Amino acid sequence: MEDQKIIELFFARSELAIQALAAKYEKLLYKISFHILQDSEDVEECLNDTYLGVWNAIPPARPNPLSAFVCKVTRNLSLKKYRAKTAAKRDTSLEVSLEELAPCIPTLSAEEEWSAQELGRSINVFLHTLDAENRVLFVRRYWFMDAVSDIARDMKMSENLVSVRLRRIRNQLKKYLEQEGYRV
Amino acid sequence: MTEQKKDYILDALGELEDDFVAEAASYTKQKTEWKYWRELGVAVACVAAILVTVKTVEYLPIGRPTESMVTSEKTNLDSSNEQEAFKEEIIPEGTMVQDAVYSEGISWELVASEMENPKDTNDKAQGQMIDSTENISNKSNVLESVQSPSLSVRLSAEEILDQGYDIFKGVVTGLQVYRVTGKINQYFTVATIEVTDSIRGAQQNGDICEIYLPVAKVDDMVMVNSVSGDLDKLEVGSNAIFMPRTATETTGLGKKDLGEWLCYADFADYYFSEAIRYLFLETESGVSYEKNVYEIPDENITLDDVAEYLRKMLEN
Repeated sequence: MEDQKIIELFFARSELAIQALAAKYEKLLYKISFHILQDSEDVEECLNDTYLGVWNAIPPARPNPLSAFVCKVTRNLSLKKYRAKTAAKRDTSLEVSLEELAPCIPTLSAEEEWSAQELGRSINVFLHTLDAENRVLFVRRYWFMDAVSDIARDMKMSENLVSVRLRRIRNQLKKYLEQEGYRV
Repeated sequence: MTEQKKDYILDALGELEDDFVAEAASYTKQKTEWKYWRELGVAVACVAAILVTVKTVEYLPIGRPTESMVTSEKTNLDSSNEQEAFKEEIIPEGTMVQDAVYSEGISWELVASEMENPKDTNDKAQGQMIDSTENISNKSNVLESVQSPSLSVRLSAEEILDQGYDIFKGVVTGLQVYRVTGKINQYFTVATIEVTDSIRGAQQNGDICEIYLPVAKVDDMVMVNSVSGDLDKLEVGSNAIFMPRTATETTGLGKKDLGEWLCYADFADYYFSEAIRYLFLETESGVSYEKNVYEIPDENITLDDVAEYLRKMLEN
Protein backbone atom coordinates (compact mmCIF):
# COMPACT_ATOMS: atom_id res chain seq x y z
CA MET A 1 0.00 0.00 0.00
CA GLU A 2 1.28 3.47 -0.79
CA ASP A 3 2.44 5.62 2.11
CA GLN A 4 -0.14 8.25 1.32
CA LYS A 5 -2.97 5.75 1.69
CA ILE A 6 -1.56 4.51 4.99
CA ILE A 7 -1.47 8.07 6.27
CA GLU A 8 -5.08 8.58 5.17
CA LEU A 9 -6.03 5.51 7.22
CA PHE A 10 -4.36 7.06 10.24
CA PHE A 11 -6.26 10.26 9.65
CA ALA A 12 -9.47 8.25 9.42
CA ARG A 13 -8.48 6.63 12.76
CA SER A 14 -8.85 3.22 11.16
CA GLU A 15 -7.13 0.32 12.90
CA LEU A 16 -6.24 -0.93 9.45
CA ALA A 17 -3.63 1.82 9.46
CA ILE A 18 -1.50 -0.09 11.98
CA GLN A 19 -1.90 -3.31 10.02
CA ALA A 20 -0.92 -1.61 6.79
CA LEU A 21 2.05 0.09 8.44
CA ALA A 22 3.22 -3.17 9.96
CA ALA A 23 2.75 -5.07 6.71
CA LYS A 24 4.94 -2.61 4.87
CA TYR A 25 7.61 -1.70 7.40
CA GLU A 26 7.75 -4.26 10.19
CA LYS A 27 10.66 -6.17 8.72
CA LEU A 28 12.74 -3.01 8.39
CA LEU A 29 11.74 -1.72 11.83
CA TYR A 30 12.48 -5.07 13.42
CA LYS A 31 15.96 -4.99 11.95
CA ILE A 32 16.67 -1.48 13.22
CA SER A 33 15.49 -2.32 16.70
CA PHE A 34 17.21 -5.69 16.85
CA HIS A 35 20.56 -4.18 15.89
CA ILE A 36 20.30 -2.02 18.98
CA LEU A 37 18.58 -4.29 21.49
CA GLN A 38 19.54 -7.82 20.38
CA ASP A 39 16.53 -9.21 22.18
CA SER A 40 13.38 -10.35 20.42
CA GLU A 41 11.07 -9.58 23.31
CA ASP A 42 12.44 -6.08 23.70
CA VAL A 43 12.15 -5.56 19.98
CA GLU A 44 8.51 -6.69 19.91
CA GLU A 45 7.78 -4.31 22.73
CA CYS A 46 9.56 -1.54 20.94
CA LEU A 47 7.64 -2.13 17.73
CA ASN A 48 4.34 -2.00 19.60
CA ASP A 49 5.47 1.28 21.13
CA THR A 50 6.39 2.49 17.65
CA TYR A 51 2.91 1.77 16.30
CA LEU A 52 1.36 3.46 19.29
CA GLY A 53 3.67 6.44 18.84
CA VAL A 54 2.82 6.75 15.18
CA TRP A 55 -0.90 6.39 15.99
CA ASN A 56 -0.59 9.30 18.42
CA ALA A 57 1.49 11.42 16.07
CA ILE A 58 -0.65 11.05 12.94
CA PRO A 59 -2.72 13.21 12.85
CA PRO A 60 -1.78 16.00 13.15
CA ALA A 61 1.60 15.04 11.63
CA ARG A 62 1.65 14.10 7.97
CA PRO A 63 5.20 12.79 7.62
CA ASN A 64 6.86 12.65 4.27
CA PRO A 65 8.62 10.34 3.76
CA LEU A 66 6.72 8.03 6.09
CA SER A 67 9.49 5.43 6.01
CA ALA A 68 12.02 7.80 7.58
CA PHE A 69 9.52 8.88 10.19
CA VAL A 70 8.71 5.39 11.43
CA CYS A 71 12.36 4.35 11.24
CA LYS A 72 13.31 7.30 13.43
CA VAL A 73 10.56 6.55 15.95
CA THR A 74 11.73 2.95 16.18
CA ARG A 75 15.36 3.93 16.50
CA ASN A 76 14.65 6.50 19.21
CA LEU A 77 12.50 4.12 21.21
CA SER A 78 15.07 1.34 20.86
CA LEU A 79 17.85 3.63 22.02
CA LYS A 80 15.74 4.78 24.94
CA LYS A 81 15.22 1.19 25.99
CA TYR A 82 18.88 0.42 25.40
CA ARG A 83 19.96 3.29 27.61
CA ALA A 84 17.48 2.32 30.30
CA LYS A 85 19.11 -1.05 30.69
CA THR A 86 21.62 -0.89 33.48
CA ALA A 87 24.17 -3.31 32.06
CA ALA A 88 25.51 -2.04 28.80
CA LYS A 89 25.55 -4.76 26.23
CA ARG A 90 28.70 -5.53 24.37
CA ASP A 91 29.16 -6.72 20.84
CA THR A 92 25.77 -5.58 19.65
CA SER A 93 25.64 -4.16 16.15
CA LEU A 94 25.27 -0.78 17.79
CA GLU A 95 28.48 -1.17 19.79
CA VAL A 96 30.43 -2.43 16.82
CA SER A 97 29.36 0.32 14.47
CA LEU A 98 29.89 3.01 17.12
CA GLU A 99 33.40 1.78 17.85
CA GLU A 100 34.12 2.00 14.15
CA LEU A 101 32.82 5.54 13.82
CA ALA A 102 34.11 6.98 17.10
CA PRO A 103 37.63 7.87 15.86
CA CYS A 104 36.14 10.27 13.30
CA ILE A 105 33.93 12.02 15.82
CA PRO A 106 35.16 15.04 17.78
CA THR A 107 36.34 14.65 21.33
CA LEU A 108 33.76 15.81 23.75
CA SER A 109 34.09 18.20 26.63
CA ALA A 110 31.38 19.28 29.05
CA GLU A 111 31.10 22.62 27.32
CA GLU A 112 30.58 20.97 23.99
CA GLU A 113 27.78 18.70 25.07
CA TRP A 114 25.24 20.94 23.45
CA SER A 115 26.82 20.42 20.07
CA ALA A 116 25.46 16.99 19.16
CA GLN A 117 22.79 18.72 17.11
CA GLU A 118 25.42 20.88 15.47
CA LEU A 119 27.54 17.84 14.72
CA GLY A 120 24.47 16.14 13.25
CA ARG A 121 23.97 19.09 10.94
CA SER A 122 27.62 18.94 9.87
CA ILE A 123 27.27 15.25 9.13
CA ASN A 124 24.21 16.05 7.01
CA VAL A 125 26.20 18.59 5.02
CA PHE A 126 28.99 16.05 4.59
CA LEU A 127 26.53 13.40 3.40
CA HIS A 128 25.29 15.78 0.72
CA THR A 129 28.80 15.76 -0.75
CA LEU A 130 28.77 11.98 -1.22
CA ASP A 131 27.24 10.17 -4.13
CA ALA A 132 24.09 8.20 -3.41
CA GLU A 133 25.81 4.85 -3.14
CA ASN A 134 28.40 5.99 -0.60
CA ARG A 135 25.74 7.87 1.33
CA VAL A 136 23.60 4.76 1.55
CA LEU A 137 26.61 2.75 2.70
CA PHE A 138 27.22 5.24 5.50
CA VAL A 139 23.62 5.50 6.62
CA ARG A 140 23.05 1.76 6.53
CA ARG A 141 26.15 1.08 8.56
CA TYR A 142 25.96 3.86 11.14
CA TRP A 143 22.31 4.77 11.33
CA PHE A 144 20.63 1.43 10.63
CA MET A 145 23.67 -0.37 12.11
CA ASP A 146 23.50 -3.03 9.45
CA ALA A 147 26.24 -5.62 9.35
CA VAL A 148 28.82 -5.24 6.59
CA SER A 149 27.84 -8.66 5.24
CA ASP A 150 24.18 -7.60 4.95
CA ILE A 151 25.10 -4.36 3.21
CA ALA A 152 27.39 -6.21 0.82
CA ARG A 153 24.65 -8.69 -0.05
CA ASP A 154 21.98 -6.05 -0.58
CA MET A 155 24.20 -3.70 -2.53
CA LYS A 156 25.80 -6.44 -4.60
CA MET A 157 29.32 -5.65 -3.48
CA SER A 158 32.04 -7.68 -1.87
CA GLU A 159 32.35 -7.32 1.90
CA ASN A 160 35.87 -6.13 1.30
CA LEU A 161 34.69 -3.41 -1.00
CA VAL A 162 32.08 -2.28 1.53
CA SER A 163 34.69 -2.19 4.29
CA VAL A 164 37.16 -0.32 2.14
CA ARG A 165 34.57 2.23 1.06
CA LEU A 166 33.36 2.76 4.62
CA ARG A 167 36.93 3.30 5.72
CA ARG A 168 37.37 5.94 3.02
CA ILE A 169 34.10 7.63 3.93
CA ARG A 170 35.12 7.74 7.59
CA ASN A 171 38.46 9.26 6.61
CA GLN A 172 36.67 11.83 4.47
CA LEU A 173 34.29 12.60 7.32
CA LYS A 174 37.17 13.05 9.72
CA LYS A 175 38.93 15.39 7.29
CA TYR A 176 35.71 17.30 6.72
CA LEU A 177 34.99 17.74 10.42
CA GLU A 178 38.55 18.92 11.03
CA GLN A 179 38.13 21.50 8.27
CA GLU A 180 34.94 22.60 9.98
CA GLY A 181 36.91 23.30 13.14
CA TYR A 182 36.09 20.22 15.17
CA ARG A 183 38.86 18.71 17.23
CA VAL A 184 38.89 15.08 16.07
CA MET B 1 34.42 4.63 24.55
CA THR B 2 32.50 6.39 27.28
CA GLU B 3 28.72 6.20 27.53
CA GLN B 4 28.73 9.97 27.13
CA LYS B 5 30.52 9.83 23.80
CA LYS B 6 28.30 6.97 22.68
CA ASP B 7 25.24 9.07 23.41
CA TYR B 8 26.83 12.04 21.70
CA ILE B 9 27.36 10.06 18.49
CA LEU B 10 23.91 8.50 18.64
CA ASP B 11 22.31 11.89 19.18
CA ALA B 12 24.27 13.40 16.31
CA LEU B 13 23.27 10.56 14.01
CA GLY B 14 19.71 11.04 15.16
CA GLU B 15 19.79 14.40 13.39
CA LEU B 16 20.24 12.79 9.99
CA GLU B 17 17.86 14.13 7.38
CA ASP B 18 14.75 12.09 6.73
CA ASP B 19 15.61 11.86 3.06
CA PHE B 20 18.88 10.10 3.80
CA VAL B 21 17.13 7.56 5.99
CA ALA B 22 14.39 6.97 3.42
CA GLU B 23 16.98 6.73 0.65
CA ALA B 24 18.96 4.09 2.54
CA ALA B 25 15.82 2.17 3.50
CA SER B 26 14.66 1.83 -0.06
CA TYR B 27 17.94 1.81 -1.97
CA THR B 28 18.44 -0.91 -4.52
CA LYS B 29 21.42 -1.04 -6.78
CA GLN B 30 20.26 -0.84 -10.34
CA LYS B 31 21.85 -0.88 -13.69
CA THR B 32 20.23 0.93 -16.50
CA GLU B 33 19.50 -1.04 -19.63
CA TRP B 34 21.94 0.93 -21.73
CA LYS B 35 24.71 0.04 -19.34
CA TYR B 36 23.94 -3.66 -19.83
CA TRP B 37 24.08 -3.27 -23.57
CA ARG B 38 27.23 -1.25 -23.39
CA GLU B 39 28.93 -3.80 -21.15
CA LEU B 40 27.67 -6.63 -23.32
CA GLY B 41 29.04 -4.90 -26.42
CA VAL B 42 32.42 -4.39 -24.83
CA ALA B 43 32.45 -7.98 -23.57
CA VAL B 44 31.59 -9.37 -27.01
CA ALA B 45 34.29 -7.24 -28.60
CA CYS B 46 36.84 -8.39 -26.06
CA VAL B 47 35.91 -12.05 -26.46
CA ALA B 48 36.19 -11.74 -30.22
CA ALA B 49 39.60 -10.13 -29.93
CA ILE B 50 40.74 -12.82 -27.54
CA LEU B 51 39.51 -15.67 -29.73
CA VAL B 52 41.32 -14.33 -32.74
CA THR B 53 44.63 -13.74 -31.04
CA VAL B 54 44.83 -16.50 -28.51
CA LYS B 55 44.38 -20.17 -29.27
CA THR B 56 46.59 -21.78 -26.73
CA VAL B 57 45.75 -19.91 -23.59
CA GLU B 58 42.46 -20.70 -21.94
CA TYR B 59 42.44 -17.94 -19.42
CA LEU B 60 43.34 -14.35 -20.10
CA PRO B 61 44.59 -11.68 -19.83
CA ILE B 62 47.77 -13.13 -18.39
CA GLY B 63 48.80 -16.55 -17.38
CA ARG B 64 51.67 -18.26 -15.84
CA PRO B 65 54.25 -18.10 -18.59
CA THR B 66 54.32 -21.16 -20.76
CA GLU B 67 56.80 -21.98 -23.47
CA SER B 68 54.44 -20.77 -26.11
CA MET B 69 54.03 -17.49 -24.37
CA VAL B 70 57.64 -16.73 -23.72
CA THR B 71 59.83 -15.04 -26.22
CA SER B 72 63.10 -16.60 -25.26
CA GLU B 73 65.22 -13.85 -26.78
CA LYS B 74 63.72 -11.38 -24.37
CA THR B 75 64.67 -13.24 -21.27
CA ASN B 76 67.83 -14.69 -19.88
CA LEU B 77 65.93 -17.24 -17.87
CA ASP B 78 66.28 -20.79 -19.05
CA SER B 79 63.63 -23.34 -18.20
CA SER B 80 65.37 -24.52 -15.05
CA ASN B 81 65.59 -20.96 -13.80
CA GLU B 82 61.93 -20.52 -14.56
CA GLN B 83 61.09 -23.58 -12.49
CA GLU B 84 63.32 -22.26 -9.76
CA ALA B 85 61.39 -19.03 -9.78
CA PHE B 86 58.12 -20.77 -9.06
CA LYS B 87 59.00 -23.86 -7.07
CA GLU B 88 58.98 -22.30 -3.62
CA GLU B 89 55.31 -21.54 -3.85
CA ILE B 90 53.24 -23.97 -1.85
CA ILE B 91 49.61 -23.32 -2.34
CA PRO B 92 46.64 -25.21 -0.95
CA GLU B 93 44.68 -26.26 -3.96
CA GLY B 94 40.98 -25.84 -4.27
CA THR B 95 40.40 -23.54 -1.37
CA MET B 96 38.20 -20.55 -1.74
CA VAL B 97 39.45 -17.03 -1.91
CA GLN B 98 39.52 -15.70 1.61
CA ASP B 99 36.87 -13.08 2.17
CA ALA B 100 35.80 -13.40 -1.43
CA VAL B 101 32.16 -12.97 -2.17
CA TYR B 102 31.91 -13.54 -5.87
CA SER B 103 34.96 -15.62 -6.72
CA GLU B 104 34.60 -19.37 -6.77
CA GLY B 105 36.87 -22.37 -6.48
CA ILE B 106 40.20 -20.60 -6.45
CA SER B 107 42.96 -20.11 -3.97
CA TRP B 108 45.27 -17.19 -3.91
CA GLU B 109 48.24 -15.80 -2.16
CA LEU B 110 50.03 -12.51 -1.88
CA VAL B 111 53.38 -12.97 -3.53
CA ALA B 112 54.92 -9.57 -3.08
CA SER B 113 53.98 -6.22 -1.68
CA GLU B 114 55.36 -2.75 -1.83
CA MET B 115 53.40 -0.06 -0.06
CA GLU B 116 54.27 3.56 0.51
CA ASN B 117 52.14 3.47 3.62
CA PRO B 118 51.74 -0.01 5.11
CA LYS B 119 48.42 1.07 6.64
CA ASP B 120 47.00 1.31 3.15
CA THR B 121 47.52 -2.38 2.56
CA ASN B 122 44.64 -3.94 0.72
CA ASP B 123 42.36 -5.78 3.14
CA LYS B 124 42.86 -8.89 1.04
CA ALA B 125 46.51 -9.10 1.98
CA GLN B 126 45.91 -11.66 4.66
CA GLY B 127 46.78 -14.67 2.62
CA GLN B 128 49.91 -16.68 2.71
CA MET B 129 52.69 -14.24 2.00
CA ILE B 130 55.72 -16.08 0.73
CA ASP B 131 57.92 -13.20 -0.09
CA SER B 132 58.18 -9.51 0.44
CA THR B 133 59.21 -6.24 -1.05
CA GLU B 134 62.55 -7.41 -2.37
CA ASN B 135 60.76 -9.52 -4.94
CA ILE B 136 59.64 -6.53 -6.88
CA SER B 137 62.57 -5.52 -8.96
CA ASN B 138 63.04 -2.75 -11.39
CA LYS B 139 65.64 -4.74 -13.26
CA SER B 140 63.14 -7.16 -14.63
CA ASN B 141 63.35 -9.47 -17.53
CA VAL B 142 60.34 -9.46 -19.72
CA LEU B 143 58.25 -12.50 -20.38
CA GLU B 144 55.63 -11.59 -22.84
CA SER B 145 53.07 -13.48 -24.79
CA VAL B 146 53.33 -14.00 -28.52
CA GLN B 147 50.00 -12.35 -29.01
CA SER B 148 49.94 -9.52 -31.44
CA PRO B 149 48.26 -6.37 -30.22
CA SER B 150 44.61 -7.25 -30.15
CA LEU B 151 43.14 -3.81 -30.40
CA SER B 152 40.90 -4.98 -33.16
CA VAL B 153 38.12 -2.85 -31.79
CA ARG B 154 39.07 0.46 -33.34
CA LEU B 155 37.69 3.25 -31.26
CA SER B 156 38.24 6.94 -31.57
CA ALA B 157 39.10 9.09 -28.56
CA GLU B 158 35.47 10.26 -28.44
CA GLU B 159 34.18 6.70 -28.47
CA ILE B 160 36.57 5.69 -25.72
CA LEU B 161 35.46 8.58 -23.55
CA ASP B 162 31.84 7.79 -24.33
CA GLN B 163 32.33 4.44 -22.63
CA GLY B 164 31.85 6.36 -19.42
CA TYR B 165 34.68 4.94 -17.36
CA ASP B 166 35.91 6.92 -14.36
CA ILE B 167 38.94 9.06 -15.19
CA PHE B 168 41.36 10.31 -12.60
CA LYS B 169 44.93 11.37 -12.17
CA GLY B 170 46.70 9.69 -9.30
CA VAL B 171 49.91 8.52 -7.75
CA VAL B 172 50.67 4.86 -7.16
CA THR B 173 51.13 4.32 -3.43
CA GLY B 174 51.25 0.56 -3.43
CA LEU B 175 51.65 -2.53 -5.55
CA GLN B 176 50.67 -5.97 -4.41
CA VAL B 177 51.28 -9.03 -6.52
CA TYR B 178 48.99 -12.01 -6.17
CA ARG B 179 49.00 -15.46 -7.59
CA VAL B 180 45.86 -17.45 -8.19
CA THR B 181 46.10 -21.18 -8.69
CA GLY B 182 43.87 -23.70 -10.40
CA LYS B 183 43.04 -23.48 -14.06
CA ILE B 184 43.18 -19.74 -13.66
CA ASN B 185 46.89 -19.89 -13.17
CA GLN B 186 47.42 -16.19 -12.99
CA TYR B 187 49.58 -13.57 -11.51
CA PHE B 188 48.12 -10.15 -11.18
CA THR B 189 48.79 -6.92 -9.33
CA VAL B 190 46.58 -4.70 -7.27
CA ALA B 191 47.73 -1.10 -7.46
CA THR B 192 46.72 1.32 -4.74
CA ILE B 193 46.18 4.79 -6.14
CA GLU B 194 45.80 8.07 -4.33
CA VAL B 195 43.60 10.24 -6.49
CA THR B 196 45.07 13.71 -7.04
CA ASP B 197 42.73 14.99 -9.73
CA SER B 198 39.34 13.47 -10.41
CA ILE B 199 38.38 14.17 -14.01
CA ARG B 200 35.21 12.12 -14.17
CA GLY B 201 33.46 9.65 -11.93
CA ALA B 202 32.98 8.77 -8.30
CA GLN B 203 36.52 9.34 -7.10
CA GLN B 204 37.36 12.53 -5.31
CA ASN B 205 40.72 14.17 -4.79
CA GLY B 206 42.42 12.47 -1.87
CA ASP B 207 40.49 9.24 -2.28
CA ILE B 208 42.33 5.96 -2.22
CA CYS B 209 41.26 3.29 -4.68
CA GLU B 210 42.56 -0.02 -5.93
CA ILE B 211 42.95 -1.20 -9.50
CA TYR B 212 43.42 -4.75 -10.73
CA LEU B 213 46.29 -4.85 -13.22
CA PRO B 214 46.75 -7.82 -15.56
CA VAL B 215 50.51 -7.69 -15.13
CA ALA B 216 52.93 -8.81 -12.47
CA LYS B 217 56.57 -8.50 -11.55
CA VAL B 218 57.91 -11.45 -9.63
CA ASP B 219 61.50 -12.50 -9.06
CA ASP B 220 63.00 -10.32 -11.78
CA MET B 221 60.37 -11.36 -14.25
CA VAL B 222 57.65 -9.23 -15.71
CA MET B 223 54.52 -10.97 -16.88
CA VAL B 224 52.53 -8.95 -19.30
CA ASN B 225 50.41 -9.45 -22.35
CA SER B 226 50.24 -7.47 -25.50
CA VAL B 227 47.40 -5.22 -24.40
CA SER B 228 48.84 -4.29 -21.02
CA GLY B 229 50.33 -1.11 -22.38
CA ASP B 230 52.50 0.58 -19.79
CA LEU B 231 50.98 -1.15 -16.81
CA ASP B 232 54.17 -3.07 -16.16
CA LYS B 233 56.02 0.23 -15.87
CA LEU B 234 53.90 1.42 -12.95
CA GLU B 235 55.92 1.72 -9.80
CA VAL B 236 55.24 3.08 -6.35
CA GLY B 237 55.45 6.82 -6.84
CA SER B 238 54.38 6.76 -10.51
CA ASN B 239 52.00 9.46 -11.65
CA ALA B 240 49.43 8.65 -14.29
CA ILE B 241 45.96 9.29 -15.55
CA PHE B 242 43.85 6.19 -15.27
CA MET B 243 40.69 5.28 -17.15
CA PRO B 244 39.91 1.92 -15.58
CA ARG B 245 36.69 -0.05 -15.68
CA THR B 246 34.62 -0.49 -12.56
CA ALA B 247 34.94 -3.95 -11.02
CA THR B 248 31.62 -5.62 -10.40
CA GLU B 249 30.45 -9.09 -9.49
CA THR B 250 30.26 -9.92 -13.19
CA THR B 251 33.79 -8.92 -14.15
CA GLY B 252 36.61 -11.38 -13.74
CA LEU B 253 38.55 -14.28 -15.13
CA GLY B 254 37.70 -17.93 -15.59
CA LYS B 255 34.44 -19.73 -16.00
CA LYS B 256 31.72 -19.76 -13.43
CA ASP B 257 30.13 -22.89 -14.85
CA LEU B 258 33.41 -24.75 -14.40
CA GLY B 259 33.50 -23.58 -10.81
CA GLU B 260 36.57 -21.37 -11.19
CA TRP B 261 35.96 -17.69 -11.19
CA LEU B 262 38.25 -14.90 -10.14
CA CYS B 263 36.16 -11.83 -9.58
CA TYR B 264 38.03 -8.55 -9.79
CA ALA B 265 35.64 -6.92 -7.33
CA ASP B 266 36.96 -9.19 -4.60
CA PHE B 267 40.31 -7.50 -4.90
CA ALA B 268 39.86 -4.02 -6.30
CA ASP B 269 37.47 -1.23 -7.16
CA TYR B 270 38.56 -1.09 -10.79
CA TYR B 271 40.34 -3.19 -13.37
CA PHE B 272 42.18 -2.87 -16.64
CA SER B 273 41.70 -5.44 -19.32
CA GLU B 274 43.51 -3.30 -21.83
CA ALA B 275 45.58 -0.31 -20.89
CA ILE B 276 47.17 0.93 -24.10
CA ARG B 277 44.37 3.39 -24.69
CA TYR B 278 43.28 3.82 -21.08
CA LEU B 279 46.47 4.92 -19.36
CA PHE B 280 48.58 8.06 -19.60
CA LEU B 281 51.82 7.44 -17.74
CA GLU B 282 54.33 10.08 -16.75
CA THR B 283 57.81 8.86 -17.64
CA GLU B 284 61.26 10.42 -17.72
CA SER B 285 60.84 11.03 -21.43
CA GLY B 286 57.41 12.61 -21.15
CA VAL B 287 53.90 11.26 -21.04
CA SER B 288 53.44 7.83 -22.57
CA TYR B 289 50.07 7.25 -24.20
CA GLU B 290 48.45 5.95 -27.38
CA LYS B 291 49.24 8.67 -29.87
CA ASN B 292 47.28 6.95 -32.63
CA VAL B 293 44.08 7.57 -30.70
CA TYR B 294 44.52 10.81 -28.84
CA GLU B 295 45.53 13.85 -30.83
CA ILE B 296 47.06 16.01 -28.15
CA PRO B 297 48.80 18.96 -29.76
CA ASP B 298 52.17 19.37 -28.06
CA GLU B 299 55.09 17.05 -27.87
CA ASN B 300 56.21 18.15 -24.44
CA ILE B 301 52.94 17.63 -22.71
CA THR B 302 52.52 16.96 -19.03
CA LEU B 303 49.82 14.97 -17.28
CA ASP B 304 48.11 18.25 -16.46
CA ASP B 305 47.95 18.99 -20.20
CA VAL B 306 46.41 15.58 -20.75
CA ALA B 307 43.89 16.25 -17.99
CA GLU B 308 42.96 19.53 -19.64
CA TYR B 309 42.65 17.83 -23.02
CA LEU B 310 40.38 15.15 -21.58
CA ARG B 311 38.23 17.72 -19.80
CA LYS B 312 37.77 19.63 -23.03
CA MET B 313 36.85 16.43 -24.84
CA LEU B 314 34.32 15.63 -22.14
CA GLU B 315 32.79 19.10 -22.38
CA ASN B 316 32.16 18.67 -26.10
